[in-house]
This record gives sequence, C-alpha cells and structure tokens, in this order.
Amino acid sequence: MIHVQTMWGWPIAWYLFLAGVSVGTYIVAAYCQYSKRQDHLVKIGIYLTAPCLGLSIFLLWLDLGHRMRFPYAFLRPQESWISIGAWLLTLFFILAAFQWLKQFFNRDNQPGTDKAAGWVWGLGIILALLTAIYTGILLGVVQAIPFWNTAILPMLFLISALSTGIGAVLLVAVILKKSREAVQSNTEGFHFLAKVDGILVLLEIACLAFYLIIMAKSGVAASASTHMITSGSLAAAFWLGVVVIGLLIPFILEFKSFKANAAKLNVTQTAVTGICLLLGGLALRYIILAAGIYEAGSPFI
Amino acid sequence: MAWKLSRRSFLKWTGISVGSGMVLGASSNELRLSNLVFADEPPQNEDSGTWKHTACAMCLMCPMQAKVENEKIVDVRGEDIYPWKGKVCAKAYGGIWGRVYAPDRILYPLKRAGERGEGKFVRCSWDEVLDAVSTKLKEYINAGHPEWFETWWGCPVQTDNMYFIHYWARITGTGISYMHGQICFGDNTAEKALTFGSNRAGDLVGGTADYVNCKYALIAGQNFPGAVFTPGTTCGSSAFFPVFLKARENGFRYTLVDPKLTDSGALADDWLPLKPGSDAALMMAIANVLIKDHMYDEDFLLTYTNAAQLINSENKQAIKDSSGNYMVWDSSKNSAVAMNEAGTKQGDLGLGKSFDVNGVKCQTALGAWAEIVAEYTPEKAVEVCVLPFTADKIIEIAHDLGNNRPASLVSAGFTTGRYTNWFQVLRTYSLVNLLLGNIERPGGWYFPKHKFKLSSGWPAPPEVPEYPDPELKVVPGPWGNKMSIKSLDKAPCYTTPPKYHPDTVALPWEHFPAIKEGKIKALFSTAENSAITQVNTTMVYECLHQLELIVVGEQLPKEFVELADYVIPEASYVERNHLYTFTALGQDGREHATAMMRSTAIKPQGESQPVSWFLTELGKRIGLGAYFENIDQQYGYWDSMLEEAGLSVKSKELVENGPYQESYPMEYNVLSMPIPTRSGRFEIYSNELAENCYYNEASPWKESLLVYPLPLYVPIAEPKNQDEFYLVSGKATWHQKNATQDNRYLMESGIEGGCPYMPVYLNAQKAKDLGIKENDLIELECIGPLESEDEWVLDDCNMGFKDTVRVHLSEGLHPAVAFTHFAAGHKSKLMLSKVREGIVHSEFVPLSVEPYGGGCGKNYSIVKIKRVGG
Amino acid sequence: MARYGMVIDLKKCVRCRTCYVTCKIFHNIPNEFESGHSYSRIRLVEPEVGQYPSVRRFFIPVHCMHCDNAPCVEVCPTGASYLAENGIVRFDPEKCIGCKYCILACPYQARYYNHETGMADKCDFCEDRLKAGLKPYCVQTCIGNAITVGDLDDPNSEVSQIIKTEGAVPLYPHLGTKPKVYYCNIK
Repeated sequence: MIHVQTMWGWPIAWYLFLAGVSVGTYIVAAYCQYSKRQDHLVKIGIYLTAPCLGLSIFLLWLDLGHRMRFPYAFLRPQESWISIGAWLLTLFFILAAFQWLKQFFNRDNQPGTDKAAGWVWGLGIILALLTAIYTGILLGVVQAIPFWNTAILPMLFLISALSTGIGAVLLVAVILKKSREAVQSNTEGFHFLAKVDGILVLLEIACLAFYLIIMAKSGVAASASTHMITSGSLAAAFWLGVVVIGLLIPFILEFKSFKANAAKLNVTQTAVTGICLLLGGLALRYIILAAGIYEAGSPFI
Repeated sequence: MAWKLSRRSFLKWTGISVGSGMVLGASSNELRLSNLVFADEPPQNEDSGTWKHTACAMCLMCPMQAKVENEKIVDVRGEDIYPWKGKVCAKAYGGIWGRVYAPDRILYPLKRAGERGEGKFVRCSWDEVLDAVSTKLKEYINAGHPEWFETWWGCPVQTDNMYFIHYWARITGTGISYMHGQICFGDNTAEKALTFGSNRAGDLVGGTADYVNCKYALIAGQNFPGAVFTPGTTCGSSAFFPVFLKARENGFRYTLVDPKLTDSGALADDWLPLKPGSDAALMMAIANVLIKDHMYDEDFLLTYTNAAQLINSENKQAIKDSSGNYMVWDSSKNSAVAMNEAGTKQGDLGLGKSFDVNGVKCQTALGAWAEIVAEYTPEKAVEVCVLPFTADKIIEIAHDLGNNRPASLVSAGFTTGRYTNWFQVLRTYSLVNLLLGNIERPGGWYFPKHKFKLSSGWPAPPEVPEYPDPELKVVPGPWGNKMSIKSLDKAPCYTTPPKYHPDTVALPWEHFPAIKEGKIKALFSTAENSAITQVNTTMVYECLHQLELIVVGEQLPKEFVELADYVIPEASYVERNHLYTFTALGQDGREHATAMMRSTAIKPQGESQPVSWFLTELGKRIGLGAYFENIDQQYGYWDSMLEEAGLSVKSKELVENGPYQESYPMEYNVLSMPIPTRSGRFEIYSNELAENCYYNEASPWKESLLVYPLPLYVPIAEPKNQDEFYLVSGKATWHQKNATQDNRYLMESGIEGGCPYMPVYLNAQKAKDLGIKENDLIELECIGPLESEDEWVLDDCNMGFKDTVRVHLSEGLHPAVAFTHFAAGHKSKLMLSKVREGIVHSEFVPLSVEPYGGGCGKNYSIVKIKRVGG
Repeated sequence: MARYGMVIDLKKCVRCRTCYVTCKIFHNIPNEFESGHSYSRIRLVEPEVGQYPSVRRFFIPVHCMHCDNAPCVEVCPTGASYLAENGIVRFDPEKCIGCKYCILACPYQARYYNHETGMADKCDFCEDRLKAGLKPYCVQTCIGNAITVGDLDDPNSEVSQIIKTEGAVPLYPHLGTKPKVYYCNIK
C-alpha cells in the first residue's frame, strides 16, 4: 500500500533550496575573505546570503497553516528539528543581515570597514554549516518515510548547498558589469571556485548514487521511492533536472577550469553553469520531497 | 448543536491553561492540561434531548432510536432488543446526516423547466402539482382508463404506507407495480413457493436459518454476513452479525461461492470462484457426491419430500392413480400406492431402480434426478464452472456438507433473477438442501413459529363507502398487499395455465411495451429509480420519454428525478409512521416476534409530506375523498392492522415505548404448517412446473428446459474472446440501494478502504494479459447476450452501448468476470459528481425474462473491454 | 491514573464502516464533498494478499496508536502534540502552527491535515467521552463490539484481558514507537 506524502511540496522545496544557496554563498564569501581572493566575490556572497535566507524563511512561514502562531515554533529545540531550525535560521539570518548591512552602508568607505570581525565570520561559518546540515536532518529523522530516514541526506544537502552557493556567486559575478570586469581581469579566484565546485559535483554524484543504491534495497517504501525517481513519475525531472542540468553540464563546463592554461573567462558558459547548478539544486530538493513514501511493509503476513 | 459549543469551551480552557503553562515555563507538556478537570463540559450523550422510537430505512427497517433536541436529530442508536442489542450500522448514520439533512435535499415541490431529462426545475406549489396530476387522472378516468396512470414503488420502507398506496390504486382504478421487487427477489419467491410451498417462501427467500447451530454452509452469490437479509429486518449487518458471531463461537464455517470475493465474504473460511450462471453444475456435482457416497437423509426424503414419487421413465411425467393421486412404490406390497401427504415415511427412494406400474416403466423422482446428476461429476463441474481447483475440492465440500448434516446448508442468496437459467439454479440449491434433510432441524432452514401476521389493513365499508367496481377481484400482492387481478403484474399469473407464478411480485417487462402502446400514459414513482434499476436502460428511457406525465417523489436527486415533470418532496423515513412486524432469530437462539412502529421523530422537513397525504389530496380532487380523508395515517390505520394480527398493543404505545417483542424458544417441527405444493410434500420433482409449464399444451413455456420439472444445468450465452467478460454486480456492506447512493457520508474515498466503489474490477492477471494497468481508463461495450444467442432475451436494443470507466485490478475475481458495485454508477447530473465516475450497470444488460419465475436476468450481460487511456 | 490503550478484534469486524462514519459525523470532520479532501481520524486499510484463487483480503482500521514513544510528539515544534499522563497523545488546537511535520512523522499515517482549519487532527480516543464514563464513538457503535478501549495498566481491565487471551499485537513494533493499539485475529 504505497502512500506518497502530500504535505510538503514546492514551498518547502524552495525553502530548502534557498536556505542551501544562502549557506553556500556565505561559505564562499567566508573562504574568499580569508584566503584573500577577490573582494568582489566576498561582496557578492554577502549580498546574496541574507536575501536568499530571508526569502527561504518567508516561504517556510507561508507554508504554515497558522502563520501568526509562528513564535510557538521556537518552543521545543530539545527534540523538534523544526524548533532547532527556527533558532538556527533566525540566528544565521540576524548575523547575515548584520553583515549585509555593514557591507552596504560601508560600501564607499575605507576597504575593510565593510567587513565584520573575525569572530562574526567564525560564528557565521558555524551557523551556515549547521543550517545546511539541519535541512537534511529535518527529513532525516522522519522514520515514517524510509526514503528520507538516512544520514546521507544531511551530507547530500550540505554538498548541494555549497555547490548551489558557488553557482549563485558565479552567476551573479558574470552578470553584474562591475564584477564581470573584475573577474575577467583576474580569473584566479574564479577558476578556483569552479574547480572546487567540480569536485563538489563529483562528490554529489557519488553521494546521490550511493543514496539511491542503498535506498533501492531498503524495503518496500524506499525502493518504491527510488523507482519513482529513476524510472517512475519523477524520472524526467530527475534525469533531466538533477543529473543532466544540475550535475553533468556544470561539471563539463567546469572541467575546463582544471586545465592549467584556462585563463580566459567565458561569460556565457559561466552563467549557464550557475543557472544549471541552481536549477539542479531546486530539482533535487523537490524530487526528494515528492518521492517521500510512507513505511509500507506489512507486519501481518 | 450542543457539542459544538462544548468544543469551543474546550478550546477556551486549553487556551487559558496553555497560556498559564507558558508562563510557568514548563517544557513538560504533561503538566499543562492533564491535571485540570473539565468542570462544566457536558459530553454529547448527556440527557439533553429525547430519544424517540423510530426505524431506519437505509436498507430495510432496523428499529432505531433517534435523539431529538430542539426538533433536530442529534444522535441515533439501535433499540436494545434482540438481535440488534442497541446497534445500527453506518448506513443509519449516513441516512440522517447524508439524506434527511442533506444540503441538497428536495424540500419543496419542483416543476420541470426545460426538456425532459435536462434536470432543470423551478419551485412550484403543492397546489400546482396536485392540480396537474388530478387533471390528468380525471382525463383518464373520464376516458374510462384510470389504469393509464400507474404508481411504481420499489422499497417498502422508503415509501410511505405501502398498503395504502395499493388501496389507493384499488379505489382509483389506477395501476400499481412493485417494479423493483421483481429484480430484487421475484423469481426466488416463485421457486421457493413451488419447491417448499407458498407459506414457506418468504422465510426461505429471507434466508431464515438456524445459523447459531449450523456447522457448515455453502453461501453463494451474496455479501455474507455483511448484507444478509435477516428475517424481515435488515439487508445489512446490524441484526445478522451478532447472530453470525454466535454461530462462529459454536463452530460455524462457510465457503463463499461467488465470482468475486465479496466485501464481507472475505471473512469466509474458503472461496470458490465460479463462472457466472454455472452454479447448477456445481450443485449437481455436489448432489452427485452426496448420492454416490450415501450422504443424504433417506428418512427425511421419504417422509417430507416427493423423492419417491413415481414418474414415467420415458416421458418423465407423473404417474397418477385413478383418483388422480401421485404414487410411490410400496416394497412391502410390491406395487405402487397413492402418495400420502408429508409426515409418514413412505415409498422407495428407487435410486437406480425401475418399477412397473400397470405396464408402464417408471422411476422415482429422485431416481430420475440421480440419472441427470450422474453426468455431473466433480470433474465435469470443474470444467463447466471453470473452477481453479481440482475435483477434490468439490468432493471435500460435498463431504463437509454431508458429514455435518442436517446442520449444514447451501444458500443461493436473496437477490436473484441473475441469468435466464436462475430459476433452475435455485432449484438445484433447494434440492441439495432437501438431500441434506436440513429443513426444520437444528442448524438448518427454519420457519419461525410465532408471527404477527399483518393483513393489508385496507379500510372497508362502512368506514369508507362501497368500493367502486365491487366485483373486481383482488389477488395477493407483495408484502401482504392486495391488487387487482387485472393489473399488468398479476393478469398473466392468473391465466390458465398461469404464464408467471402468482407469487412473483411484479412483471416489469410488461410495463415497458404497455407504455409504448399507450396503455400507460402517466407515472408516479416513489422510493424507486426504475430509470436505471430496471435492465436495458436504453429501452427504459425510450419508454419513459413517451409518457405524458412523470411525477417522482424523493428526498434526493437521481435519474428519475431528472426525468420528472414534477418532483414532490417526500417526508423521509423518520418523518412519518409505519407499522412493521417480523420474527427475528436471535443470537440467544430464540425466536423474537416483533411489532414495531417507525414513527415521526421530527416533523417533515421543508414542505415535504408523506406520500399518503399526496395521494389523499389527489383522491379528494378526483371526487374520491371519502375513501381517504378520514383515515388516520398516524395511528388509526396501524391499529386496525395490529388488531387483526391478534395483538392488543396499540400503535401509540409502540411509538412511545418502542418495539413490542415476544420471545420463544425455537421449535423444530417440519410440519408446523402444511405443505401446500401439489403433492403436499417438498418437491424434488415439481409437479407444478410439469403441469403448468413443461407438459402443458397451453403454456408458452412448453418443453422449455428452463421449466423442466427436475432441475437442470442450462448454459447461458458466453463471452467468446479473450477481451470479453460477464459484467456482474454485487453489494458492499456500507452500500445497499437507492437510499445509500448520493450520500456524502457513505461515498467518500476514505470509506472505501481496499474496495473502491466506482471503478470496474478485473482479474489482475487477465488485465495484465490485455495490457491493462491499475487505474487505467477502459471502455466497456455491451455485446451480449443477443436475442439471437438466447431465446429468452427479449430486447437487446442496448447492444453497442459504450462507456468508459477506471479499472481496479483484483486477484479476488474470476477471470471471466468484470465486476461493478450495484448501483454505484449513475448518470444524473443532479447527483454528486462522483457517481458519474462509475458505469450504470443496467445500460449493459439487455432485457431477458425467465419463463414462469419471471426473473429479469439483471446480471446477464456480456461486454467487450479495451484500454483507452492511462 | 489510567493508561489508555485499545484492542481491535478483527474476527468481530464485519467491515461495515460504522466506526468511520460515526467518527466523522460526531467529530464534525469536513466531508469530502464539501472540502475536496477525504479526512478521517480512522484510516481503513484493506490489503488484498495472494494470487487468484488463493486470495485473502484483510481489513484493518487504523486509529492513532497513542504511542508511548510517539514520533509526532518528538517532532512537534510547539508542543501541540503531547503525551498526557493517561496515555492519550493529545492534540492542542491552540498551539498548532500547521507545519505538518507530525503528519509526515507518523508511520501509521494516523494524522491528517485539515486545510480549512490549517491544523492537524487525529483520534483522541474520544477523551471527553471517556472522562464522562462513556465509550468512544467507534467502540459504542461497532456492530460486532470489536473495539475495546481501557486501562492497559490494569491487568483485569477488559482491554488487557483481550490482549492477553487473544495474543493481540501492535502495528510496526520494530519502529520503536510503542503503540498502544493492539490487533488480534487478523485473518
């Protein structure tokens, strides 16, 4: 008796996706800041984080049945991952917003005055990583839906968060004239990000493959979910959206960055890479939600 | 409603306590509410209303109490009498909240405002309807043909005072027909009457058996125990299930014989799926084993049946002596003697023997049948019935029946007339029961000894004037009623010889040509939906469209409402009075003779009125008011019936105090009543069939195998190709009939569980062979049986009818069969749209009529199926 | 303090759906034809098992299991779902924010989301009625008296006796939810 969950759909998929993007953009910003890579990449990262996170929180809030009661959601962080998430998202958002504002209001001032102190960044990195992992644990603790009930999900979502974050930064970096020029004149940081993402994509492919293979053998419900994704009603979305668009195309395009003499920056290809990574991340979240099938083994036979 | 308020207070309490809990800052939820007492919250069932005694009508008439608060029914429950012990089922609840209080209930008269069948109506006044109808009546009466106006009714409990409507027909000279009754159980009654006697037919048709002491039964073609017709009470679970549970405690087992693993039939110990229409072969194979292995009750057969009756071995006609008596062979005298009435063991069973009676070679009735049955070995039955088992299974079943006799029985079910050969099928079931000797024995068929017998209650002069046409003969009608011998339903039963058995309850197929020929011009339909319950919907609609006037009485929309010129709002079954009597067999192993009143728990809602009021008003307008207007429909009518039945209790007492019951121990006595068959015995060889039909020169059924005096297997038309199926229908426990359809509480997808109500079912493997997957869209096309294939098919104008529907695959279905839930699908646009997801079964069933018994082959349909979408 | 549990004896179930309909009506749960959704506090599970002709069809009414280790309690961010001292897993409609996590977390799919109220809902063993000394609706109206609710901590209570004598078992015990609804004679 296969029952697919119908409670969490697109609003939650967007929420998970955007939260992941904001984590990725923040980590990119943090890394670029501390490895002294191009400052415009740091700026882009910070400018993207709070809005993406804010939007994701807004969508989460929209999905509630009783929106004005949302303060109650903070009440049980000792057990409920939604409560934990509420705290994490709030703290992360406050920090990200603070960094956004500092950056914005100090944009014409002395370089360096628009950046936060070291401990803020440190805290931010912790909150970001926890947020990404949390989005996976949120689903991961649900025993009732075997396809979600795995530690692989937090890992997968973390990798995807970082990857989509890089994608967002790359996309914005080549779209905005000022930063495009900056990147074109010094492609080192850019190529570094592309390489990192190339590795992340490989990791994601491995993780995803591992996830599906394990799930295919984990009982009636989990294998039905896997089937739905690989050859059932979600197959087109999965193979096209997640695999081809979200993983293969970016990887092929990023592969060029691994070549030693890849000095020239191709704007179009970079933009496409960014868009594909983002689409793939969204598709991944949605498919995993849509393939959530309740425990279906019968104990009576 | 009271409980809604208490819920809000509950919420208020929790709000306060939650607030204070939060203030206390405790994160342990248990402390917040569990120690607070809900000081002033009265739960729903506290005494803030009155429980009134009334009855349900969603299948038959379970006694029911309705709690009335501020003139609204807020709760229902059963009466605490045997066998209900306080219970009523889901349908009772659905009936109140999904029918009586349905948001789309018809509460005022409606007049058609478009083409007939368009379903467009405007509100009108009662006066307008009464004027229109009485004008038509006067027209017909003046033309000398009041019978051009007919009343059709179908459900004895959904309609008001079924006796009064027959009386009204008698007085006005209009026609009347219990249209639905015939496709429900008409030919079953006829078969039981001629095998066991008319006085036993009702109880046998109702399946009255001593299940509490029964050890093993073969239950065929029914949703058992969920929709079993317990004596005069229910077609549902509430009365029979407690008895069933007691039977189970005592070791009762049963095998379900049915092409489908029926809804509650899944509780059976075993399931024997067989090809539709082939039951006779199965029964004959069982008889074959019982005879071969000497597992029949010889004493019973010789004492109570005509097993030993002598017939001519050549022409199989009965041998009679010079005084016209049937004969048996007396071995002590070595000659044939006159057969006595039942009660004395007499004669020689004569299996395998022949006798010489005045030079004529003779055999016994059982001997002759044994010869026929000898051909039906278990192996042959496996082949004919397309059973997915070996012959051993049949032998096992036969032995189980034989070893447990007489506490074993075979039951063919209540609803009937399934195929043209059904009469013979029923005969084979009856004969197996006779072989087992299970009549009036512990664990077998049983006839309650204590009954309150109701007559029709018709008022007579001087209470009312002398009846018009005083010479008009009336004959028995359905449910103890009376009707004119000239009525379409009865005239053919009183010809010489009778064309149809007089105990059939209606002859629907006589009415449709009559409409076409202008012999019926106007129709009043109450508590029935012949538009789609009669077979061959194409033909039915053609006829209905020809009528000058259609008036339909109802509470909820349905096809007949859509076709009506006027719709009158009928008072529902809790808004009027009606008397019922029956004797139920209880789980305590006793007879409970019961008299009960359905009563007016709430007044008729909106402008609705009981049908008796409508007919009385009509009667007044056509100058016959004196016959109707002084009748007290609340109490007076019923008091006279109670008195006639020998009861001193008054209807008002029944209304105020609830059902009156007298309880008695069961008494097993085969001859508690005479056996009014021709031979005075239970008939293995039916002398009535022989003399009225098979050998009768004047009978239209002469020499038809379907009326052969010994039961035969007569094949019916078959699907020929891999994509052709029998289309059969059956019931679910939470759905019964017209009354349960279009009911928002009984039709949600949540209630379906694993038995979706709207799709057509196919055997999973068969579907796979045809490339059909679960929930695909399939198209059904009606391709048979054709008039050319089966001589008893009278009208196949619906051949070629097509419809699409979703499919549900099941392993619990014979591969030759496509299954639809009875009356699930509808085509009326006025009903909940979900009903249009199903098919209308009758669209696919041509009109076929059984000789003599008059069954309308309501399952006799062959369809071609193909996949048309995903 | 009683610790409430339930036992359903399936040999006494005739599949009449009376429990389903009465629960629906008396808890005023929106009807499918009005709300567009099929909501119920009782889920009717009716699996068909086997291959023609050896087929069985089971019928299992699934209520809230009132688990002692309820996933819905664990995941609820507001405490709207909580285990009371009397063993009933309660639902506090004042605190539900409609996040739907509990509906996903229940492996028995015993909870449903009411789109009109924007909140979850589920069986509460008709606690109001229990407190008034009455039986829950499903227990009261069941044709076969198949359902019994009572104190699991009292070995002499009817529910404890039936569980013991009939060898009743709960659903999905391997999940560690410690459900308190038991079933017997499933066949």
